[in-house]
Amino acid sequence: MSIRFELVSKRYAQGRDALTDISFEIGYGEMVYVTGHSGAGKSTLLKLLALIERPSDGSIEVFSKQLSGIRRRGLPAYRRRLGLVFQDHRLLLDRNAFDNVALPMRLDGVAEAEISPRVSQALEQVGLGGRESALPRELSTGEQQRLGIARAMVGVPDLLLADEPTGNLDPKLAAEIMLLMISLKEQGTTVIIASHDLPLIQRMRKRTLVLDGGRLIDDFRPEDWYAGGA
Amino acid sequence: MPEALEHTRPLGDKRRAWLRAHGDGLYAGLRRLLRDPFGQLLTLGVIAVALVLPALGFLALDQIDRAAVAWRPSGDLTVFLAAGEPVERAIELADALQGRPEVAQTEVKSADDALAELREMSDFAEALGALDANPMPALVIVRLTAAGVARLDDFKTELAARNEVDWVQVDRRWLERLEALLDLARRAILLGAAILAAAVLLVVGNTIRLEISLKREEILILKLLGASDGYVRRPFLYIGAWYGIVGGLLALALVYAGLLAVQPAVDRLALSYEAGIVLQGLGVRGTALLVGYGALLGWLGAWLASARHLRDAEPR
Repeated sequence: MSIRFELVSKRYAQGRDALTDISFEIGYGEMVYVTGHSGAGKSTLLKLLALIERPSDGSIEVFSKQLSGIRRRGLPAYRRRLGLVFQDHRLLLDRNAFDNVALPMRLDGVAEAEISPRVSQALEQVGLGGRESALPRELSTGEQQRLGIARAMVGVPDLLLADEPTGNLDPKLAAEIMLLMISLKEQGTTVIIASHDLPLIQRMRKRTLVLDGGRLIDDFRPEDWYAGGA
Repeated sequence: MPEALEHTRPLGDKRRAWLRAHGDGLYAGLRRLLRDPFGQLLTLGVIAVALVLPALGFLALDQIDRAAVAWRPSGDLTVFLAAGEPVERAIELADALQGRPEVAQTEVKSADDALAELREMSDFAEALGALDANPMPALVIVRLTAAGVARLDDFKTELAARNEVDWVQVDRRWLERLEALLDLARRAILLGAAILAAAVLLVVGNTIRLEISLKREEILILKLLGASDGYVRRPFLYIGAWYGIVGGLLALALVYAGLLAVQPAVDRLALSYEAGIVLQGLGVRGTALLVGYGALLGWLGAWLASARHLRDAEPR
């Protein structure tokens, strides 16, 4: 299994239960949506996978490794295997589009000769071809979102975690970005997308975990979609 | 499928990436300093003062040591040749010693000169006149450098072992007093330098702490993307090192300004001793040491601050 959650709970210091007894498994190269209302626990689930937060109870296994066994020193190597897309983009404001997208590969020690064409290709794929030298402040919100997506995808990560990746995009562009993520999945990347964009999720017809109040209340499989389950 | 989380890159790629990261850090640190050089004047000023005081202290010691060589009332060592050795042997010995780092100056006295001097300085003139032969040997008066004073005993033993030498006399009291005074001054300056170095660490550390708080968002993003602590820390270390380098260059300018300012007073003093003294600067080695010491202090201050504050910056 690529990812295994076993009775995972997350309780924040204020006493709020963000997730309660979540269990599921995701296979290698699978693409999964996580949906639910605001506060359902979607972002917390992604944060647990990115080791931004640690579970209060239960265990999480990613690529046959218990995340509880990864200490502070091992965090960078783990995170370099991930692609992260954030709701608030989290771009480096004093670096141009090229350098923002190139950053994960530079952190991973990829040769510059290899970085340049891959960054150009990634920018092209998200519709930002020719904007290599633009600073984030010179881009619209939607363009910044796409820049963040290009950065997450460029290194072909083992696991892509995307938090509302299409939140600032028009439906046509959102669908194109989803197709890009599918192409990434076809290269072997496990893709997990937190989104409350139900129409888009319905169109994509992929496995969908439904959260409500921190509990997993449904696990729609692709076959359920085709059977008219939603 | 990615069974394991550890991926490996070719070593050459990693080395190039590492070098590139260092190059970027070096450039980014300099750019940061140049962006607002006047805003950094206080920090740079403190570093410069902390470096200039010990530098001037050591320079002063060096000058005193040099001046002492010129002003010493007599030689540090008197090398008496064996009886019957001609003055030519004394001249050969003086020439050989002149090239040694321990020796600042030599003076040869023939047996006749030595006898004449003894007659002038003592009440035995009549008694000496009654002697059939000159009892005095030829001798070489040796003035030592600081290095020579430092290894006085070894140097004396070495000279005494020579065939042509009968015995070697040391003007030890003068040398020991001077050495003790210089040693005391050296220790005082080192203590002062250590206290000032601690001040530099605190000032640079505080500046880097502010830099880290200004760059907090960027640090969090880098950590989320898998940057190691070393990668995140590197630009701050280079900023610290640049502070030290620029502070060192300022200190260098202050040292030379100080030397220019005191030269007239030194000239007047030297005149009263009938000796010409030109104050020596730091030289290439001293300059490199001063700037390198500044860079090291800046780097260390940045390292201490970043080790403490970057640990607290974790994405949430």
